[in-house]
Formats: sequence, C-alpha cells, structure tokens
Amino acid sequence: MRSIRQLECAIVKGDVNRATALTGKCLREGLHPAHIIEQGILRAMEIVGERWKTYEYFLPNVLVSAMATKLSLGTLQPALMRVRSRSAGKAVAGTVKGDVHDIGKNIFLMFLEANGFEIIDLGIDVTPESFVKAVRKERPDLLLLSCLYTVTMHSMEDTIIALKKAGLKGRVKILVGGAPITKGFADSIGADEFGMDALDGVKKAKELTTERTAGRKKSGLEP
Amino acid sequence: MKEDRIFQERRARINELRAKNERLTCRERALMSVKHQEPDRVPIDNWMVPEIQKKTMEYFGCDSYNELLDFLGVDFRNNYGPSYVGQSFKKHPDGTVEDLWGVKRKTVVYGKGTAHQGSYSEVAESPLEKIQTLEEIKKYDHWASPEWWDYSKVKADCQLYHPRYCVINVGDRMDRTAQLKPMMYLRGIQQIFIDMVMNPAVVEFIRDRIIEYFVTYNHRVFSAVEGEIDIFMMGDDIGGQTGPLLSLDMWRRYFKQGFKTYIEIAHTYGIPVMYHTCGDVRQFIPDFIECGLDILQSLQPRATNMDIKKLKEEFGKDITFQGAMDIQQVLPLGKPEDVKAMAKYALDSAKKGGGYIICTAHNIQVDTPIENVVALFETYHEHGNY
Repeated sequence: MRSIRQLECAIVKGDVNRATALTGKCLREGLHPAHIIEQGILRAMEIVGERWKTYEYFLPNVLVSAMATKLSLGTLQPALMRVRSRSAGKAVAGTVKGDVHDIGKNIFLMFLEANGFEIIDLGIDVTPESFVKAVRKERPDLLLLSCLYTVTMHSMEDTIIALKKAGLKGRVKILVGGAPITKGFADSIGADEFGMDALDGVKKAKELTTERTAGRKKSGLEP
Repeated sequence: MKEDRIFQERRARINELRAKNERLTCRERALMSVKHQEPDRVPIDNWMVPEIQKKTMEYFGCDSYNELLDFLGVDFRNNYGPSYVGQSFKKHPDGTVEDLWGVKRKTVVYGKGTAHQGSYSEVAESPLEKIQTLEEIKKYDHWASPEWWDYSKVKADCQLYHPRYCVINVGDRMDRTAQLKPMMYLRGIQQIFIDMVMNPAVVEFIRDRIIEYFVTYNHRVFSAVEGEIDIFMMGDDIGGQTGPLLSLDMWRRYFKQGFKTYIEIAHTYGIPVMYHTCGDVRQFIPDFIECGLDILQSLQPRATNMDIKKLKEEFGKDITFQGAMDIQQVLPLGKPEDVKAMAKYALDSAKKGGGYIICTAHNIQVDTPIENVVALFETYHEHGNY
C-alpha cells in the first residue's frame, strides 16, 4: 500500500520520473493493475481536480500531473492487456465543422486519457457526416464536441441532428464544451451534458459513462 | 459618407447625442480619463473583425473604416509601429509562412461556407516544441532582431492623427510586446506550461531572448516618435474563462520583472501603458498596479471575478479600465435591449471619476447582428456623458 500512496503523491506533485518508477514498483510488488489505477492514479487525479477547482492548482501543475498519469498508464499498459481490464470508457472527439481551434480540446482529451478513457480524436473542422461515420464504426460510449466560436456553435446542433437521422442519437452520450457553450445551449440542442472546463468535462464524462453502463445493465444489454 | 435619406436617418441618433455631449477633442477626452478626470463623455475604443467593419460601414453609409470610426465617435487610432525591412519571410510548400521568430503561420478560415465566414492568422508549427534540452534550444538561430525594422516613419504615421485623436501604439496582434505569447508560439502552449514546472531554465532562457528584443525595439520606437504616441499597448493572455492560467506566484517568478521593465521604458518617455489580457486576472491586479500599469484591458465580463462594478470599487482609484462589453454571448446572441442593458451597467458602474474607456472585450465577431452593433454605440453615447 505504501508504494501506491507514494505513486498518488508523485502524480499530484507532477513528479513524472518518480510516478513512472513507482508504477513499476507497484507492479513488481504484485498489485493488480486495476487496483493501481483506482487507488493510485484516479485518486491522484481527483486530488488534482479538487486543487484546480479551489485555485490551488493552475494549468502548468495540472498538465504536468496529467503527463505523469499518462506515463504511468503507459507503464501499466502491458499488464493491463494481460488482465484485459476495461477502459473507463471509449470516446470519439472533435472540433465541429467550420472551427479549427483545438487547444482546449487537446488539453481536455489529455485529462480524459489520464483518467483511463480510450480516445478517438477526429481533429478539427469535423463534419457531421464524419462524426456519424465514426460513431457507427467505433461504437463509443461518448461523443465529445468542441468549438471556440459562437459562429460555429450551430455545427454542434447539425451534428446532433445528423446523429438523430442516422438513428444513433440514443446510442451514445453527447458531451459538449468550449468557450461560448452554456448549459442552456447544450440543453437546447439535445446534448446530454456540458463541460464548463477541462476538469469539469472529465467529471461529466465519468458521470455519463456510469449512467450509460447502469442503463445497459438495467436493460439487460450487458451482463 | 453617403447622404441618401436612409443613411442620414440611421446616423441621426448618434449624431444628435454626440452634438449634445461633446466639447473636447478625442485626444483630450481620452487622456483626461486615463488621468482619472471626468471629461465630457466616456472615451470609446473599438475592436471589430474586418467583416463587421464592412457590415457596419454599409449600414451607416460610410465609405471607409476611418469614416466609420469618425462617425461612431471612436476616440482612439491605432499605430502599428515601424515598417519591417528584414529578410523576406520564408514561405513553405505547405502554404505556411515563417514569422519574425521563425514560427510557421497559416491563414485559417472559420465558418466556411456559412454567411459568417471569416479568417484568422494562426500558428501552424512551433519550432522549439520538440526540442528536449536547453543546450539545443540555445542553438536556435531565429530570434527576432530590432535591426529588422525601419523606425523613421512611425512619427509621421502618428502625426497623421494628431492633434485630434488619441494614438495607441498597438503593434500587430501576433507580434505585440509580450513575454508569454511569443513563448507559446515558439515552444507550443502545452509545452511552455509544462516547462514552467519542469524546466525553469528553458522558460527563463526563451523569456530573456524575448525581453531583450522588445526592450531595444520599444526604446527605438519611443525615441523615434518624439512624443507622438499617446498610449503604449502590450498584451499577454494570462487569464482563462474560469480563472487565471497560471498562479500568481508563478507569474511573479517568471513574468513580473519583465512586465515592470516594459512599463518603465514607456514611462521614461512619458507614455502611459495599456495591458491586454483576456480572462479572469482579478487576483493579479494589485501586482499590475504595483508595477505602474496605467490601463487594464479587456475585462472579459463572462470570465469569473471580472464584474466591472466590483473591479471599479476595489481598484478604480489606482488603474484605468478598458473594455467590459461581452462578445461571447450578449453581442452575438442577445437582443438589442440586452446590449443596451450591458453597456448602461458598465457605464453606470465605472464612469464616475474617469478611469474608464468603453470597448468590447475583444473583436466584435462576425455573427453579431447589425442591430446589436447599433444598440451598442447608441448606448455608449446615450449613457456615456458626464
């Protein structure tokens, strides 16, 4: 247990090298990879998230912690493959048609990945048709839509309309975000949730994925 | 100016209010306000994307942008500094062009195929992003040089607007006097923030090259213009929508000294300084004041902690504010009455005692309805008088 607490601490502090070394140590001590993720990495990210919310941590600290997490997960990857542990969820993401801004989206995706999500990033200026195609092919839990301009907000709605037409609307949870996006706008276009910033987005992504899994269980779609 | 009846009618309200309110020249009005004195009305600055400039010119029947600024009662005129006479910027086969710092830029179009299409010049590739060590960064040979500029015409450029208008030396959006912004362009946004924690020596090295350049450059600009610049503007975005991007401690560690140096240079020449940053920077304001900053721009009203009423109450005696008009929701998505309420609130909250220049918190964006632009300027004149 001591190593896992040290790992949590290294990630919170953003000590990248120590976090990687401690992940290896945890594995050598025989800890299960899923246990290392839940008790070490995810707990660390929760602390980082709390510190971000209370203005104790800012972008530089959070980015370094996310980097430490990513490397730690990389170290766990071979062991994870062996035990076939499930990811936190699968997400298709992109900046909507007409918009080319991806700084916020990329930071958000880095956090999401650090929280164990599998990401398929379609990049920028993504058409509704491309989103539909990716949702059909990848069968993700989440669809993540981003934009910076008010001018391109309507492309989010176009994407959701295209999903409805393709009969995919209820099959994926839609999370939207970006500077001009509000809860009211997200509701008005039929999105399932809205992320205020990168870390709020991670929280919402987790909630939506949990809801979805619970829904599946309830409907008997998944054992 | 087109004199058809329809245009005369559209211009009538602003013309009538201005005739009633104005007694001073634009320059007198602006400089009084910066000195925390009440002029005849609150000075007006204007930021618009070119597409909105055109739309507004067409609506009011103006033949040029200068004619539009004149009609709207905009008190400031921008000076973009000296002319570039260095080597021509390297063009690459992928359509990108290298800038002053060797950063590849490209023109990107947004809202393609819609009625709101527009374009911005953006960074395509940061040359130092993939470099691992300080030693390798030290070998980089594309630092900008103050020798690449012809400073001889800036004075005449500024004089064109004097004595009537207040001249702001704004520089170019991409090359404005700054510290963090060129670092972001050179090193990439994520990497430079990571460096602030992991590689302080890299941050300090890049920062010092940038400061060295701007110190010499600005000395040369200010000495060449011989008093013809009224306000010097620098800009570095350190605020986000829900809080600062970096902590106050980190800003003090890396950027406070450079910030102060830039201000002191302008003050040596008797020029007040305006500083642009988007986002929530409330907790930095006491340090800005301590460094001698005269004007804080842009007071992004949808960012947390940036309510103009509270800021004026807390800091209004020590610093002038510029901005506070919301381009994220109210202007593009609100109704004219929302725009009027927003402008009236800012004027009522901040005009007392001078020290307020009204303006949008950034460029008025291309999807803003013309009725909202009209409502904005009419309210400036309706409620801006003293």
